[in-house]
Amino acid sequence: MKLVKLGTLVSFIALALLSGCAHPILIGPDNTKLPTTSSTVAPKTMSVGYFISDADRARRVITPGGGGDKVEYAPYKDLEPGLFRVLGNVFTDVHVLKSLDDKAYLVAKGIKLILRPSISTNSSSPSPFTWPPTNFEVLIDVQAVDAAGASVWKTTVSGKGQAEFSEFKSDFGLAAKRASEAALANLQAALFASPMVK
Amino acid sequence: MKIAWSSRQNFYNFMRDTLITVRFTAPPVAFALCVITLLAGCSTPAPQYIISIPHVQALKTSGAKATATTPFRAEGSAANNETISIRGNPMRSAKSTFAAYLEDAITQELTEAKIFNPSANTKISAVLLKNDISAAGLVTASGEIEARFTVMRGDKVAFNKVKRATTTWDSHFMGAIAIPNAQQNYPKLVQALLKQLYDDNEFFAALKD
Repeated sequence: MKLVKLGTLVSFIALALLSGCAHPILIGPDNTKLPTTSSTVAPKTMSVGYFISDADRARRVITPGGGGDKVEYAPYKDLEPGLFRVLGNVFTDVHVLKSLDDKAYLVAKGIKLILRPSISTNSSSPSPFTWPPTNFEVLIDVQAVDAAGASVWKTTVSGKGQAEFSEFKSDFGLAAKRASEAALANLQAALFASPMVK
Repeated sequence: MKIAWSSRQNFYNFMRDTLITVRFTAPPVAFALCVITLLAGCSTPAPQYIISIPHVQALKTSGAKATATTPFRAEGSAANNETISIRGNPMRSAKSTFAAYLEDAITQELTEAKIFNPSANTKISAVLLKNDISAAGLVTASGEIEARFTVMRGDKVAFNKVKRATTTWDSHFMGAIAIPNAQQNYPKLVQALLKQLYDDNEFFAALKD
């Protein structure tokens, strides 16, 4: 009887060790799967900058995975290469801003527009057995201001991604990557449709 | 039940009882181990390369002319061109080989910097010399990569140097965490190697002369 209890205890300890931890995943898109420059709309000849604070770049987020586990990732850091690609598709000249207060840099680079992305995410999985998320959602809120700081445009786009076990067993962040790719493609479409570009 | 180790028979009885007990109580553990095994995978591809924005900015502002790449290759067994073993779990390249992975990485950054042109006269090639991850440690893991980069301008060698990079990251005693963690650090190892290349002014000089 004691052995039965001991076995159960060992089982629970093993499961406790295996569950409840945050597994690191990458949620950034495969840049080769992002849209390229639109074949119908030429990039706008404009110098723009985007700003992501160092705190946001370093921020790690934890959201639910499957089986009671969680996943951990850096949304700004992971999505920045995709954001850079999308902005490069829409505008001819894209700069990374280290500060919003460096007016001399804005003047030197001829930056007319500053974009500030805000990224939020969520994930889930109905599977009690595997931790990678099967559903993932990425929301990107973008605010654009001119060089004087006046609000010019804002939008919120989202992307959803799904992946099943047979797919994500070789890429645990697959659902997230698909969500990121969808959100960034939607952002590119929104930028092309905006009055800033038209 | 009191366990007595007074005789060999007692030991045999204990083992018999234990095996019976395990048979009925182990499914959760066995199941958990199966999940780990499934998630660890037999041969997992390395995550795709993640372009570095500072690298792209450096390429854009370098004044480099249109540049192409020629097929990268590997030399010697230390290159681990086909697979890298991470705690006995092989990680293969997301491309055909790890030399091809490195070529894809630099091509992506040249493309984002808008200076990649497959028919350009200036061509970058590389030979992968070392490529390994050590994730056996319970606290930290590390990666090492080394490659000889060459820039050809027509028939002339404009640049020819070996670059090496190492990275370290937090590891874990559980393979289910340590192995994916190590896999996810491979793109950062390649990024670190390319940073060594882009930090060399002679490399950019070779691209714009």
